[in-house]
Amino acid sequence: MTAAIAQSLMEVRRVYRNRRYLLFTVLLPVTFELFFVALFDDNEMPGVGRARSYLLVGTTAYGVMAATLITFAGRIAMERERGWFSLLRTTPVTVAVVMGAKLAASLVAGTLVVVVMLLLGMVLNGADFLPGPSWVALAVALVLGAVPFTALALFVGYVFDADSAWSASLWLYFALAMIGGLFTPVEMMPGPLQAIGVLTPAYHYAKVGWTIVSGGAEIAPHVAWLLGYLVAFSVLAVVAYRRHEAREYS
Amino acid sequence: MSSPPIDLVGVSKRFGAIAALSDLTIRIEDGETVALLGANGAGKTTAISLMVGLRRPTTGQVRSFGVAPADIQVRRRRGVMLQDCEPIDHLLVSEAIALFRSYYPRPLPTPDITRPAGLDGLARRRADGLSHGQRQRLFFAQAIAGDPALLFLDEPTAGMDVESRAALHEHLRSRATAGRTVLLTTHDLSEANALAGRIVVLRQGRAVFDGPPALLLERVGSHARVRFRAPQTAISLERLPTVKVETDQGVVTIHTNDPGAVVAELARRGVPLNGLEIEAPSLEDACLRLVSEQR
Repeated sequence: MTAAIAQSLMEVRRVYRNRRYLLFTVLLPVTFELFFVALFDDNEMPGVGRARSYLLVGTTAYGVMAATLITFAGRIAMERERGWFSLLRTTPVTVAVVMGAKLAASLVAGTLVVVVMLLLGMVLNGADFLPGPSWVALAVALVLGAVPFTALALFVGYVFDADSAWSASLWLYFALAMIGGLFTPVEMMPGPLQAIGVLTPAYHYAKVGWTIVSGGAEIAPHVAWLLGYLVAFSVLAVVAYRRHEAREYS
Repeated sequence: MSSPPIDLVGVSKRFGAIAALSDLTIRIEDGETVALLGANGAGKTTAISLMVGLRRPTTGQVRSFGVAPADIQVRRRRGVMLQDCEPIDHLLVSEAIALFRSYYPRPLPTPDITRPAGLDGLARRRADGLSHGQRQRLFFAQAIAGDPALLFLDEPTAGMDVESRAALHEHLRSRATAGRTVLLTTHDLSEANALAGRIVVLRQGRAVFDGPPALLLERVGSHARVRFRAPQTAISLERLPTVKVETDQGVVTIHTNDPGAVVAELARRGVPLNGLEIEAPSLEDACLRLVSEQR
């Protein structure tokens, strides 16, 4: 138990010590938000309602995905290559503790992004933009909804070496965000693209947020999709991990 | 009786077509300090990776305290210092040590880790900003953090300065006195001689020697050298326990396994022993000879 706490604190500490990384992780969605708000102002967007609601959720989701998917994948691949994971294998610490701590740290980074972005949303749109409970619900949904991306990151981090894990997760991240409608609502996409878009985890992740800000009630199906993705990505991650084990430690 | 900390029986390890280890049988008892020697590629690191459970043998059996070396019971009683590892980034030295202490049920008090590792003044330094020698000291600190009964050190003093090396040696000797087991690999034969009561020499994945350092010298026939200046005439070297005699511009060099007897006998015969030097047998010579011998 003490090892689990120490390991998690260590991983969180490494995140907040890495100031430049944190700065740009937060700056990325902030820049997108400011740019898109300036571009669209608060026009009605077909199928999603007010542009500002749509954008706030979309850019925040985009920011959290960067903090979880890309960083997590890159770190795992890098630490494997640096011999750090091999050394840990010889100690009493378990794989579950090592991975759990990484998950905790990426959720802390994700939480930071969410907090900054929602504060920015309040500054841009006014605190009465949403009712109080909706701000809280939105924050919780945007943090917890990112968990499937950490499982995906685990998979990428075990399949690719350090260099290609960064680029592979960057590509995955961007493709998912684009097709999932974080920048352009899937409702505005032509039929075939839309059909693909509504299948992506990014879409369902952001859709929970969009449903909360638009006062809708239908969250459950999207949560179910996210859970399904969590299971699928976890299975992929375990398979990749086992394959790596068999190759590296046989 | 408890099971030995390290027990390899008929262990072979192949990587594809390459035989990294062949039929290795090593049993190391509680309290032994063993040095694993060999040229690069002889199988030292592979042997360690099997003993700490990072790799599994192709054939044969590896046991540590009677169970598989990757078993949690073994991991709690063991400290490991690997080669080819980098320190964790964005962490202070003190935090890296605290992390490793948290892994073990009965860790050493922090000062008992930092002192022998020579990290007392470096606690607030960033682990990823350390020099090579300082990193080695941090890895050593991490390895002893859990007060392990069994300690593995792969090239521990590579890149260390003289003082750090001395501190590490002192700590290892105190471990040996406390009945702890240490297995180290090294390129430094004087280190092996100073620390280890037993040396295992690997060549092409096979143990070509396993015994005390003195026996290694004897086995490969390394001998002392007695050297002195003497006029070339009138030296009687008959019936001396010599192996070989060389004379070069008035300097006589006698290779012998018993330098004391040679000198005493020469003195008795009245041979002038000007500038007498006795050179101890070199473990380095012995080892080089052993490693380079043809099959």
